[in-house]
Amino acid sequence: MKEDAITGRQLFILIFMTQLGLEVMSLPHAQADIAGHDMWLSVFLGGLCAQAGIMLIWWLGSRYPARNYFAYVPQIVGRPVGAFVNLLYGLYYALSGLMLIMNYADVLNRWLFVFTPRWILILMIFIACGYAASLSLRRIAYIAQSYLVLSIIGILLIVGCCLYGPDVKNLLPILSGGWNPVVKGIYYAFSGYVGYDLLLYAFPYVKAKSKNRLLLIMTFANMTTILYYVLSCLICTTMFSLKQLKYIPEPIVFILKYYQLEVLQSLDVVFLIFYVFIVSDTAYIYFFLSAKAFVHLRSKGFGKHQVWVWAMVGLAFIGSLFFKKRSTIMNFSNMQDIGSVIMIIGVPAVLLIIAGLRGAGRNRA
Amino acid sequence: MKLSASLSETNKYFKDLFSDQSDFMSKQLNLDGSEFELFYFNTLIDSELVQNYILKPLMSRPHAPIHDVVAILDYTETESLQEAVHAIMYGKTVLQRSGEAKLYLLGTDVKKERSINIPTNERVLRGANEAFIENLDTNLNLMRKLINSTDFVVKTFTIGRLSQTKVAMMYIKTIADMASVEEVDRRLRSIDIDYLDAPGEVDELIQENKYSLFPQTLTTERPDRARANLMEGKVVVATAGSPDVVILPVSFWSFFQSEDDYQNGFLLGSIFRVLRLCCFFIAMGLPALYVTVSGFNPQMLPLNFVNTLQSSLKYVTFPPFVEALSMMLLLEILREATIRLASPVGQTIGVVGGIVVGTVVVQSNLVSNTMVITAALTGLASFVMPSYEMSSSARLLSYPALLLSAVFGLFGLAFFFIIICTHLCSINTLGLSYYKPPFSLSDAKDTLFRAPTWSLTKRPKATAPSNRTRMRNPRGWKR
Repeated sequence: MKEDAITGRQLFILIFMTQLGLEVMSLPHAQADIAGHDMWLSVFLGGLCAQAGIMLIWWLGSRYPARNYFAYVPQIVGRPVGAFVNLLYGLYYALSGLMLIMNYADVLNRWLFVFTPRWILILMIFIACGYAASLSLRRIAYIAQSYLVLSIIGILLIVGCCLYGPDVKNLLPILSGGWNPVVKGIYYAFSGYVGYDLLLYAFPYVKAKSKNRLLLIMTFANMTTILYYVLSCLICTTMFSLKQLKYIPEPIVFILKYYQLEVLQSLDVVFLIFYVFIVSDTAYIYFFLSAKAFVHLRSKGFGKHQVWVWAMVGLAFIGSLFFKKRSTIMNFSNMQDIGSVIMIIGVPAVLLIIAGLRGAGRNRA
Repeated sequence: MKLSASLSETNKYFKDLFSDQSDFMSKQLNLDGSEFELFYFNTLIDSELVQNYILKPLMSRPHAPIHDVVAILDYTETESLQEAVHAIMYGKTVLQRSGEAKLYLLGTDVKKERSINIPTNERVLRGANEAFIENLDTNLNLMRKLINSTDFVVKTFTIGRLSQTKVAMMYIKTIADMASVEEVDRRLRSIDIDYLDAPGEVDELIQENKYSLFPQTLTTERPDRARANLMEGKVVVATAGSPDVVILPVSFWSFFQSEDDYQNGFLLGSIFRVLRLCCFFIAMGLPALYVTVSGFNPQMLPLNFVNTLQSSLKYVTFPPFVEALSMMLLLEILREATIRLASPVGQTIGVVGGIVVGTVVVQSNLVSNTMVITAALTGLASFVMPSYEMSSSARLLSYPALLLSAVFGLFGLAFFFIIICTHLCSINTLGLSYYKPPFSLSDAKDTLFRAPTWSLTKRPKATAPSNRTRMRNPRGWKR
């Protein structure tokens, strides 16, 4: 399938919306145990790591500007290994989509729909994801553009709610436990930035003036995400003490629950519902990438994109039925975190080295 | 069959062909030794024209060449009987002189048409007050008068095996995207049908997404609206016998533009544009929101409002979903009844439907007060849209929204909007995207709001016009 080109602006929004996942809600709680009130620092540093990852992918991509990642992997490592790598990516992205949706359904079940069976919620998100993921990259960018306004309203809600009651003293003293916990927190913070790896696939389809401009766009997108996360972490740490954070899994929702407008009793409901759009947006990009990876199993193309999307969505849905306990979800999420570090930093780095070595060899010969 | 020079042979041919037609006539004339025969349908021709401009001159100069005698502008000579048959069916008079293997086709069809009226379905406050009528020639005349340019192209086709309906395609060749013009041309030519019921069938036969509820072509009865769209590089298809023309390729946003926006100031125009967009969402989602808020998530509402809502819901026996469904059905029935009803009785509908049913339904505690307000607001909001097709789809979409939110609450409503948004993004019209979020300022200029006229220097990208410059120096007096 020939892919339509997307503009730089669309790339910016796609990357930002893909990076923006559930972590806005869960990061402060996860980080409370690790980095403590310095979490904003580790979230910031995690963003910088993501920036390094972006540089890596950009570097790799600019070596093969005419083809997407899944198409040039077999070129670098040979066909059988390349197909295996693509297979891994396909499974990894499907798992990422599944875990994101599971986690979100878990949040919904705890905060909003206590009595609704989880599989129904999941099924609906999966249907929406499958429908959207079967479109082309440009159409997906249109959808992301349409939802962007919701993420802006989301951050405005968060910021608006902390007008009263933040205590900056909660942040002090900075680095009370030394750098160690902060560095440890970087690993967990990094999971929030996963999503920039869309560039792996999207690189050749962006109509940017130059390679450097493309990098600039990516950097801006990443910076916006950093800003979003750091802001939400700062707000949570100034509004709550560490002890409270350790008990509240989604502190942002808690803050929003406390405030009310004259016409709207609970802002948290609005926020959680708006997040359906943002989460589904991230999830369908995962499924889109997963299907693309499978299609590129063979250089001529292997099956149809739509078929792969629905197949993976169906499999993921069946898989989701096996998650009963919250601890299982947590374990799988941890596995997925490790997987994402391997898949979007490790593998591209190795490929870059191999490509570099081969290129160097070719130059000498 | 080949045309012969003998009148009797031709007469026999036509008589055989039209043996069942009681209004087919042939008239023989013998003028000063020269024999003529006329063939025509007396229900189609204007007998005054035939008498004054064919018969009279012929009588005075029977031997002169026909071309010099007959005083009729629409004049063709042919040797094909087939062509003559077509001409007769269109209301022409066919003339043959004895001894000549040639037929003269003379345009004598009677022009029966209603006068140009004011638009009845698309009203505006400021703007032209002319509407298209059923006659294609008159419609083309209206368009030609609005666009006095050689770049304005009208191409006609004949579609329909039996009806032989004339269809005209209009575009401006220096603005329109030639790829879409050719595509419309190709699609129109490929229609193979017995008769064409415009504009609905044209619309349905040439659109891509067959099962979408959203209108993919814009139907209008206003020449000025057609012109505005032509000037953006779109193609207009007019069909004989229909006072509506079809405009394509259109984007989602075209359905919210009204001629009024450009006549008032840009601030007013923008506010009304935004209002219409909001009304689109109200028409789709308000009943659903009411159902979720009253049945599922009352915790969203402030306590005082919940009390008010509760007091109105107190004696209502049915759940909010049934309430909402019945009121929306009532609204739909009222709408349908108002269209079908003879106009003198139309007032009754307002009284019976609006006042009697509305009041009694609340007093008898079948439906709550708030639901009546919701239903009325939904109905009104849907009619704010300048396109009847779009307003109908918005109202129809409110049913699935209602169902989803009745079952799954706010989450169902969110799911509904995700699906609608994805669907909108997936639609193609003539290979162009139907819905594109207005993201850059140039995209938003004439979609989300109506920017000042002097800033609309470029045509919108949505229809991919070949020439994007709309104005060069609109405020030249400043310098």
